[in-house]
Amino acid sequence: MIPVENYIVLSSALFVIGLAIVIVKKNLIVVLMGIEFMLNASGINFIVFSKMDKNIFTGQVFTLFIIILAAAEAAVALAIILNVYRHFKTTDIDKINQLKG
Amino acid sequence: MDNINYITQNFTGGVTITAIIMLAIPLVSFLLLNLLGGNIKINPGILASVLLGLALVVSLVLFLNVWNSEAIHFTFNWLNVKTDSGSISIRLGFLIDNVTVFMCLVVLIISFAVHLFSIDYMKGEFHYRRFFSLLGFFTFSMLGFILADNLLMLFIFWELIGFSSYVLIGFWFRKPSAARAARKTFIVNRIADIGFLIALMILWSRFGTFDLLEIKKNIADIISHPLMATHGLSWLFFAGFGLFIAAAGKSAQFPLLVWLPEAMEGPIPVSALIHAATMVTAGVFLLVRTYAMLTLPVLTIITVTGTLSAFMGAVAALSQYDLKKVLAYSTISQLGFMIMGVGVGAKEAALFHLFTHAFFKAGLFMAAGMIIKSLSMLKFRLSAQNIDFDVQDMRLMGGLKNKMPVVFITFSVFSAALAGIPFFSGFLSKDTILNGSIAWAHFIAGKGITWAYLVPFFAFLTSFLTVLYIGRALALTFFGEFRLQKLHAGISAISDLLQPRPLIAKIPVVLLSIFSLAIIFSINPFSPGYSWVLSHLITGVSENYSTPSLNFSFTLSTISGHYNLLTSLLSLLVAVSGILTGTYFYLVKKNNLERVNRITVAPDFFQALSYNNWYLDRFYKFTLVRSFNSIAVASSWIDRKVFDKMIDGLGILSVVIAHIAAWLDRSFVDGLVKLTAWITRTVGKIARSMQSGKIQDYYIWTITILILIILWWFL
Repeated sequence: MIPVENYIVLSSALFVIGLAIVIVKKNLIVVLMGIEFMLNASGINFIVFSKMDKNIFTGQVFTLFIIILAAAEAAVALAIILNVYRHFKTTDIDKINQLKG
Repeated sequence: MDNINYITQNFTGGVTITAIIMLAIPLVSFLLLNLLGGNIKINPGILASVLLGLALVVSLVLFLNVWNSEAIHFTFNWLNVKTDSGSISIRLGFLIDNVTVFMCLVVLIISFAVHLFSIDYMKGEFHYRRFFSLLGFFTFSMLGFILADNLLMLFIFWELIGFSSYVLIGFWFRKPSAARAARKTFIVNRIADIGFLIALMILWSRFGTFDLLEIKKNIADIISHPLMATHGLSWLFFAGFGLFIAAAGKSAQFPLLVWLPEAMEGPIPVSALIHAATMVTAGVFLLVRTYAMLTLPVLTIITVTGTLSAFMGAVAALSQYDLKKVLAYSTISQLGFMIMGVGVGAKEAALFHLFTHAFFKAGLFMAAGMIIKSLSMLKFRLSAQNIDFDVQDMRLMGGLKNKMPVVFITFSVFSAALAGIPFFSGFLSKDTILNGSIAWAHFIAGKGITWAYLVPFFAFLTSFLTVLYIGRALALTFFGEFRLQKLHAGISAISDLLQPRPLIAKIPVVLLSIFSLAIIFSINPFSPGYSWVLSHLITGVSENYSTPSLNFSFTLSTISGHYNLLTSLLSLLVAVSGILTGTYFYLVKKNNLERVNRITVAPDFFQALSYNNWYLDRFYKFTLVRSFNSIAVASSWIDRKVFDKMIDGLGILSVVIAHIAAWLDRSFVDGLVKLTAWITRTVGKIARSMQSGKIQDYYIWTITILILIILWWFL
């Protein structure tokens, strides 16, 4: 029906957008949002591949895992961001370069 | 020297050793006096005189051994020069025969006398020690010259003599005129040496040897070869002519006679030693030694030049008012006689006149020196009263016969010898030369050249003039009244302040005056043929080998006996008439003293010609000196403007190149280094940027490398 390439284009487009957001944006929260993007895009990809085979539901189940993990990870990431903000007093990623060497 | 058998000796021969010792002693005197410091206690003059006296004794020993005994030829190898075809050996050595030992004796007697005389004359001189060392060096050079057996050694010592004369004439080198005179002497002698060098080159290239005896033998062989004798011997002519030019330079003959009057700038002992007796006679001695190499045309040139110089010198001496200049021109004149003697084939007579002239001319110079020294001391004493005068000026002398009697007597003896008065030595020797000239004139005229009679005519005329000029000098100096006193009539007792010289100055002069008497040289004062000197200088000619000149000399000596009476009569006539004329003009007609005063102010034609030495100096100045000076100026201009600018250009060029090299160094070499550093830094910067600490950069790197791996994996 709908050719599978469309779905893959969609999911890769979303992934690249998420990557772009992670690379380009300066705000930590927005980078977090980009990570969510990438996770969700990969989830779409899983679903698409599971849809191609009528009898296997692995993709769909894995997507559920991804969503749950995304949520848990978001909670932890927000906690880290909060601590980072408390330490560095800023959310600008460019300013957090103490690992520079 | 002609047919003598020479015995060869090596270093151990008795005569050779004596000669070497005699040669070495003056050199030792020179070295000792130079190496001694200024604070030595011995009077350098006395030391030098003692050494020279020692050398005189040695030469006397040598003389007694060799005179009329065997003649010695000593030679040794000095240098070996490797050439393509074997090696050339340069030899040195001595040729010791009658002529040599007598000449050595004469030179050493005069040198010793001059040393003694200089002890007084140079007293108070600042460079006293240097003077005596230079006298010793000169004596060494002269002795080496006399003893030499080959042309190269002759030339070496010839140059040494020239150099010694240069330092001695320019002894008071701070006086510009003296320095100029020394330079002139040396330069004129140097010009003459070109002749010597030409002769050396010709003879070496022809014969391959410098040895005098070998050359004589070779020439005789060439002449005796029937084919060769008809071919042109022009190369021999040029060799002989070169030797004659060399002799003309050293012995002050025309046209190279301009240096001798100016050489009077040197001290009087120098003039006595060098310009009376030794150095100027080196030219005559050279001609006698190399007589075999002179061809007949050369001999004719020699005769003419000698006569001309004799005449010119005598004429120039007639108007001088400087006592030393009179004696200088007189020397030129007498040397002309000697050279003429060599030319007319009477070389033994020339040598004899050389010996007698040495004694009386040196004596004349030394007697004049005594007068001049006394006048100098007088001048020094009068200097406080601002009186300045030329001590050599005869116009200020006069009446000295009472004040300096010894000087008067000796000066008179020497003058009589110079004038050729009988009973004095000069008569004997001059008579022989005049005899030879008459014989020559008859011989040559017999071959069709009638102008040959001019030569004895001018010779006798010169003798007449000789009596005149020396009589004039005698009259001006010793007779009349002391004109210096008359000039400064206000200053009293000038004449009382004139002191005679001490004994040590008088002894050598008296000694020389004894040697100017005829008795020493010949038992019969009227006949030179009885002279023991002359008869042993004359030698025969063997038929085995002889050269044209030797044949000529022998022929003339055999026919000259015919003219003895004629010559003696003519000489007597000349002497007597000269004395009479001189007495009349200079003693009786006193106004001639005023003529002397007028010479510098308003001379007539003959006076000017005579006084200015036939204007030779001026002629040379306008022709040669100017052209050489302009050449020198042009060369110096080229040197400064062209060569120096080229060298400056080279310098600038090297500086420019250095700047370019520096720029290259800065830009390229340093640039390379900087490039390396820049590359490293940039690579480092790039590599460092991976560790920026920014998370997003890490993301970028990760993604990039991941994509690259995927691409690489699948491509």
